[in-house]
Amino acid sequence: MNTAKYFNGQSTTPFEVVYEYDLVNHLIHFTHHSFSHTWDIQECYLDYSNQQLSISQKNGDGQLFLIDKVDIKAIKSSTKNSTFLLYYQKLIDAGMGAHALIMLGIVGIILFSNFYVIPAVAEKAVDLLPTSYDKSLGNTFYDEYLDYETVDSSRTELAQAFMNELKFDSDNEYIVTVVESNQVNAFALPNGAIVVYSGLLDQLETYEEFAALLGHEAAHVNLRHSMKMLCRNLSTYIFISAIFSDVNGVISVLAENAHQLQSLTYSRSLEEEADHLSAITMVENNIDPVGLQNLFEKLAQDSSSYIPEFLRTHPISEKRIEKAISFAEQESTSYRTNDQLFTIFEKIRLTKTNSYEE
Amino acid sequence: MKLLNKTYPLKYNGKGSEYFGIIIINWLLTIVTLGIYYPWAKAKQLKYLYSSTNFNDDAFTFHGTGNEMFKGFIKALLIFAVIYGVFFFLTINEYPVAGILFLYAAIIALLPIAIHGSYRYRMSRTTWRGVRFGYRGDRKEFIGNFFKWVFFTIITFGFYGAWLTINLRKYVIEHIRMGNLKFRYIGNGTDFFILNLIGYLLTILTLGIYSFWWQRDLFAYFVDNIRIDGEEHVGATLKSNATAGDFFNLLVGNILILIFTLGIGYAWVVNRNMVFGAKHIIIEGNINFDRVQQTEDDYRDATGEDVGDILDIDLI
Repeated sequence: MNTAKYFNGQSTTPFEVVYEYDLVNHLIHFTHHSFSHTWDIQECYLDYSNQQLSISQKNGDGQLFLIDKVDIKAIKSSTKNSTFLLYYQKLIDAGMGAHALIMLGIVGIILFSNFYVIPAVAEKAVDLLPTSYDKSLGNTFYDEYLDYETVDSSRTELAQAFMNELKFDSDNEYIVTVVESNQVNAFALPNGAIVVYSGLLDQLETYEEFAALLGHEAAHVNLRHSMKMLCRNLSTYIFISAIFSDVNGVISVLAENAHQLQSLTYSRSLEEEADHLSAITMVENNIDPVGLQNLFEKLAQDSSSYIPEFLRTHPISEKRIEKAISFAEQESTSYRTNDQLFTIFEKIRLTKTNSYEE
Repeated sequence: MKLLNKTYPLKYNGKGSEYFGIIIINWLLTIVTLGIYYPWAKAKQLKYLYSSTNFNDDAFTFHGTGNEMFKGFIKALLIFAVIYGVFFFLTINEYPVAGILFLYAAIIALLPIAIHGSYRYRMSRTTWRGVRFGYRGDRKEFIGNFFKWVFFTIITFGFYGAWLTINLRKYVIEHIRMGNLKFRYIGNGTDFFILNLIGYLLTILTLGIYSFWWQRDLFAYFVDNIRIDGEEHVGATLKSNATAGDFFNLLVGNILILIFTLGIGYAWVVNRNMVFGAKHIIIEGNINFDRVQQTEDDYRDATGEDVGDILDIDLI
């Protein structure tokens, strides 16, 4: 017979009691010189931690602490635990190596879902969304954006005329706006609005380069890249917050960073997709796709002194340049100069104003 | 006759590896059950932390269960569903400003209710040697005080914040019981304000180096001002013996663990914090801890606890 510590639930006075148990009937009987009790173990909560087993009454305040290892094991294994608890105990007892493996497994599944499952689901979701949604989203952003910018109206008109000469494999309408700014940048909104900064436009030397740029931005619109990014980011965010539902605050911060990293690679793949479509569009319009290559090389060269905005949002990798070169080589038939585009582009170059530069 | 003071040992016996196991299994089950397991996971974590903490050679017990917290969780979700329902209703019916005001007002109003509810639940479900803790704060009084102090803080552009913190702390601690023992907090807002002002200025002047001394002072201001009162000149005091160097080791060590384990070492960080607290809080007095009487009621409604969880409030 072993001893245990008993608290009667009326005061903190410890009583050293002698106990015996009857595992067939789930009873534990303990005695002190002034009292004795018998508890039905099934009517008690059992908690094992720090080498001691706490047995506390469900309907009462009494609590018994056992420390004998053999008894603890016998009592624990005798109680009719639910299957769940049995498995739970097995998992807890599996040891640190197993726990580390479980953790790696979960992280692996999460990463896999994050990189492969979620993007696929998000893209499907975009297919289900009506294109009218793209338009209203783009319009809202476009109106707000233009409130803060100065539009170069004469070059906007010319750029629009240039755009109208190009034929695209889509019903989208494109509205080109040239905005006065030193920034070397251009972007497209899901409603078909394409904004070109004069800082970028000034650096272009041939109409092929301009066509490549517009083709690239139009491809973003046609392929609904903004919506894909939006759906993707949103679903990743929901996924991450669901997974980590504050169980572990620190890991969620790390996961957030992983998400940043992954959205960067995602946008790279979108850029490559847009490049490809742009090159195809150029060939279809009988424009030498070497323009794409020239555009990239010019921008990449320029980044030696500082990183232009365009490169930060559209990072030009060696890979993109290589692809542009190989595409240009593949399609290097003789291209006839497109007189109309050439003329419009020369006008754009002549209208170049330097008013905003100091 | 003056009773001799004795020191009551406080120890944390948990192990980082064990806590890691609990966290990982919780994580697994929470994911597999799409989050439903969360209340049970939380109960498991709290049970481990409490039962690994030993005072005067006996462990605390957390009696809260996943079932209780799940019920509270559902109620908390319903409360938030109603709040967001009203918010969306107002927004859709073109009262967006009213909607946002309502949302903020409701969430701010929930704060004191959640704090009150969490303490009632948490204290009532915690025992030491079979005797329950209890929180006897009055909800209406606490809510009234809370808004009064928040209002002062707003109209003084935040300066009243130090007093707000201490007043809240004082109110909460002074309504905590362990059986027939009462807790008292003797800090005041003015001292706390000066402590923070000096800490803030010196931290800037020393480019952050002073922050460890500031941390030491903040911890000590919390611990040293707590008193435990028994009946008739019987009591105990708490004292921190943590130095700035101790805080440097703890905090820098924790950050390094988190960085080099990519967050996996979180369980060990919690363990270090618990060990640190137990090691550096010295409890002395003449209370006979074998004679504390059970006085507090059982209270099993975890709604406040769960609302607090959703609002991300940490208990002091």
